[in-house]
Amino acid sequence: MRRTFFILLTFGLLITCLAPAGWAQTMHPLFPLLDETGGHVLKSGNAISAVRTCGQCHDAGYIIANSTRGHASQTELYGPPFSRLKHSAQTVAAGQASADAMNCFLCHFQQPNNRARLEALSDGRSDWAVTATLEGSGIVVKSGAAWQYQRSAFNAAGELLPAYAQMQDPKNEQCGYCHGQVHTQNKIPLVFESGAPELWSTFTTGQVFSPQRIRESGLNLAGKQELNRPWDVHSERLLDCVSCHFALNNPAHQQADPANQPDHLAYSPRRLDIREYLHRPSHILAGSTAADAPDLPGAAAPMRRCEGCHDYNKTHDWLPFKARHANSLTCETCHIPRLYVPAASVVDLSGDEAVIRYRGGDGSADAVHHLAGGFQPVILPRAERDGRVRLAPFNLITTWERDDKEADGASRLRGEVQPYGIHHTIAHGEYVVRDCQTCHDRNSMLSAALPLGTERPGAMPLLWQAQTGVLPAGQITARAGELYFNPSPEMAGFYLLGHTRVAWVHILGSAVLLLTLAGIVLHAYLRIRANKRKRAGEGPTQLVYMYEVYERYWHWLQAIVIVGLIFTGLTIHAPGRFAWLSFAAAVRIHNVLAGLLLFNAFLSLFYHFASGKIKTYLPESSGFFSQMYSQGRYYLGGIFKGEPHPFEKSLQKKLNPLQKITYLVILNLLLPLQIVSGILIAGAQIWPDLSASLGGLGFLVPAHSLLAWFFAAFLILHIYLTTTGHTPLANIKAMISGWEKVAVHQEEK
Amino acid sequence: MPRKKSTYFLIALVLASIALPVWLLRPGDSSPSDDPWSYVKAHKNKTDHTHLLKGPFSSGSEVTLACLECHPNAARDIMKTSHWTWESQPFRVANRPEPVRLGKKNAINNFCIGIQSNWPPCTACHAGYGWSDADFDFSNQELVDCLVCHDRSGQYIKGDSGLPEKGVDLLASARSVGNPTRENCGGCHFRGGGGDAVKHGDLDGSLYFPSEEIDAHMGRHQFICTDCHKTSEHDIRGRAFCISQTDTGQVHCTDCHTETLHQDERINRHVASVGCPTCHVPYGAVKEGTKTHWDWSQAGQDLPEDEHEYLKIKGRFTWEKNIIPEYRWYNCTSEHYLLGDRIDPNGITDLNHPNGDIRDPKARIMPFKIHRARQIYDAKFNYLIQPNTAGPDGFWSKFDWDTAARIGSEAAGMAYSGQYGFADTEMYWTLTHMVATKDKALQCSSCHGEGEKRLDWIQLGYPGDPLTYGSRKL
Repeated sequence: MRRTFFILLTFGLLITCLAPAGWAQTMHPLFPLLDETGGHVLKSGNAISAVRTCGQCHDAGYIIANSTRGHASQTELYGPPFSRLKHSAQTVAAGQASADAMNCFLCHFQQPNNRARLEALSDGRSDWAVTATLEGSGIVVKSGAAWQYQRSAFNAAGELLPAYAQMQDPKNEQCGYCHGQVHTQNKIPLVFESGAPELWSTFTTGQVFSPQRIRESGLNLAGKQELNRPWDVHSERLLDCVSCHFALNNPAHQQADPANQPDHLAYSPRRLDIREYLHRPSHILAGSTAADAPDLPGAAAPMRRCEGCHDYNKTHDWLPFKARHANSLTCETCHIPRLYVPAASVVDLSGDEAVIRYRGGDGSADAVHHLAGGFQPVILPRAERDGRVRLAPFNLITTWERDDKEADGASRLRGEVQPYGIHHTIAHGEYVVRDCQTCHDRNSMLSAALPLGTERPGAMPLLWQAQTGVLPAGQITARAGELYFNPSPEMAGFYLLGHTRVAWVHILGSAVLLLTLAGIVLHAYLRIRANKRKRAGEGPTQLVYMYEVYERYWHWLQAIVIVGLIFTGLTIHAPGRFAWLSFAAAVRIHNVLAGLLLFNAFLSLFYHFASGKIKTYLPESSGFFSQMYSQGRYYLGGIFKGEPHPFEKSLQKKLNPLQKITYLVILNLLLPLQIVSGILIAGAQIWPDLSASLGGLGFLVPAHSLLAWFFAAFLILHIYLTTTGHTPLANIKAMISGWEKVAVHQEEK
Repeated sequence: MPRKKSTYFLIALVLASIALPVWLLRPGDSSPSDDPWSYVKAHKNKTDHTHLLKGPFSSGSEVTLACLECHPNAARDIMKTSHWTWESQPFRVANRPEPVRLGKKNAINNFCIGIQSNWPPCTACHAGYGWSDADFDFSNQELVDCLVCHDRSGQYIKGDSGLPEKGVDLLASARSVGNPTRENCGGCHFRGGGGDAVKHGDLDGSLYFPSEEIDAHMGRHQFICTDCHKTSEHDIRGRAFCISQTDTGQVHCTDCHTETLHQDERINRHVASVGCPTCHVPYGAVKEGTKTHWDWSQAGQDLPEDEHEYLKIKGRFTWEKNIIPEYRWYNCTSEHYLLGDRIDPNGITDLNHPNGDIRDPKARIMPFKIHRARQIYDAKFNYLIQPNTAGPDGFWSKFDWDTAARIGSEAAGMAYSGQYGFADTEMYWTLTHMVATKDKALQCSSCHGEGEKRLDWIQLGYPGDPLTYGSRKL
């Protein structure tokens, strides 16, 4: 007996030494399989207890106490999907799992038999689930309803032979047993039906984790030939689930909590010794949410999020307003533009049998026999760890239940909508959203409605099932019997240039503009009629060099820039209005023109101060209001009678009193406000907090638009009033050539 | 008074003041500026020769003379190139005192082994007329064969010693001439080794009219050979790895494509150590099977014959299709077995070995088809034998290796001890044609991780998968 053992041991050691490539797999010591009482299963024939077996070396108590619910309760069969949809049917709370609940082999055994495990669970043989996991490996054989251990899998000492005792980090497929569709066999086309609730993430969101190019999968997907992207780029780049979702005390990944570190310490090298880690590995994985592990200290398990590995700034130089985008969007919003397999949309529990409908296909989960078109996730604001609210992709699932608890005895339909976050199925390269107008447009991706299924007559209004951090920014509406969720980022304080509209701004703005236009038309009509009756007497005139070159230069520069600003501003506000000007180009030109306007304004201000011409703009101290009155009276009366201008233009007095007051308002109020609001809008990415404290884009942009309406109105009025000179074109000509015909007043003679 | 000039000047100044900043501050162009199409020349229109050539022509040489009347330098030019000389410029090798020349003229391979003593069937592919023995006159312009590359009549076929087969209408052929087509090049290059697809693994008859699944350039973009193998004065760019030592005049992917054309930095960084074909030629012999193994030692037996398994005259073969390449470091130069080099008969002799290793900054990992064979060697002198196969006393007629070795060695100027045996040899063939469309290129898991494991990292000199062990340090 002992000799056999030594021969076997020597053999095992030899294999260990001779197979360097496989060394990692044979490092695990040999061990016997124990049952619940601690007896050897070969003797008792009882079911294996993973906790007893692995607990021989590993600190099972610690592991159970440091496990998320699901990981500690793998002998529980997940109930029908809807129970989990509501986060209600968690049967085993963290730390309270029964000693036998954990199934270490499912994640750590090389070739676990998940199908047999599920069968055992659904047959009500949950005590045998661990044992069933080893079915087909050569350790256990199921004959009839009983499991029988194979003596040949054990050595003389009763330990599993090295070939069976190989334990490992969980492979992606193993995570996939419960979490979603994982497929790493690149050469085998991926074929599956996504309706299986045990593929939880795929069921709820359509996420798939695989390096395979989608076009090479065996699924029946619309436009598949063009989908030359992997299902998930991280999977393509050979990252494993545990690369990001590592055990929290794994010394390779362990990070000191910055909150508990002295300020001077940039890196803390203290970490668990590898032996200690293997003895007491935490089974709370990074990325676990508080819902999975309510006893987690603090803000759940810190996972490296996208920005923990990727330097956004180094790869997004092409993106205008980089910081602004980073502050408003999660990476997933652009990098998961589409899900390709059906995901649950409606779970109807109101009847005797649960009915599940799926989006992204023909309503079924079957993307093998039916063509699946995929779907675009709905974008919702989510409160992030850094305190910002960012937009992120979700799927929404509507659950219908019959509420029997009504006082009148009548049962009523009650529906709930719950969001499910999407973090996998990440695209890269050309499959990522890059075009500005995908979001910055009337039909913005960020406001794309998501169908919620058919309207149910007599049902109570759909409720929003709260989920930590996700804001229900949007409205549920019904159209032609179908329910929709219409996301509205505006409800979370986002203002999306090119998409968001504030109605009253445009009503007010256009009213001002239209009134101005109407006034002008009426005024012009009266002038023309008056002119026909009585030609204005041509008094003696003389040519005066009214505007110096610089004055004309800055005037026209400013004029064209302002027209350009209004024009590009319109395009930013409503992209696609002028097809030849893209949103991106409009933004760029708008900003350059704004800079030009500001620069020119400062230069001319300096010029006016230095030359003393600033006086032209300053009202006289005495009698200004009476002058304004007489100028007003002229425009409203005298002009029609051919009366002379009350204040004839001269080199010293180029502006009449009304002009002066207008320019005072424009230059000291309108322009600065427009400049400041514009700078704050553009600067929202440099000083996000300053912009936010001044109302954020939700206030600044509408204000900027309103002022733009006023500018437009002024511009029209201004141009019209230039025609009230000596001759209709005299003023404009003067501003071009500098020379103006000015009436010679008697007193000047 | 108003002056028009200054007014125009003012308007121009204002417009310039706006246009200039807008133009200067426009977003940088992020799309790659290098357009590969700018390197692809338009195909020339062919000149109709129908009325230029009267004939009649009774021999190929008469056609050549007619060509030379208008193209006086053509023969002189082609005679400088390996299409005519079948050998290289002299180069030095470590174990030889004198510079050597190497080419199809004197090389040993592990297919039909070599042309010496076997000239007539081999020189059917020579761009000349009448090379039937060692005394061929390489200086005679009349012997240049213009038609083999320029015929477009489709009925020009060369037979033994490169002479036109009986029945070829030389006049029709001469009148049809134009720039070389796929058919002209493929007639010889697709049929190396004596049949379609035998030798290269990336050149065969499927490239006459390929779909894009076979070759992206020729299938999707309708390239012809000379689009990449650009030609000036009859000197066609490109080097055959099987007989070239250097890469002077080689065709490279980077002739048209930039090294940093991938949007992904991770992939661009691969270019320092991985040649383009490694990922973009994922399989060799995509459509037609190619020979991967040839055992001459079994030849001469009366066994059931099958072109793809056993022939009495040639021995036993293995043909494979859609082959996964073997990967080696390659710095674009190679070592070649020269007649007389000693071999270790118990080991495997590389007839052409790609130079370069993990420490060589110029070397990149490239895909190869390796043709493995057992072939005759001199058991006393320990070198490979050039046997006589074709011909009245050759092996294919008499099935007597001793005679074949004696005649062949004499023709090659080698001593033959009278004792022969069979030794294992390997011959490398670069896989650079049959470029896949980008959606078929290899993915990370083709080489890294636990997937396909196409690259043997240890053999390539890495401590392990560079994904986890890190790239080579140069």
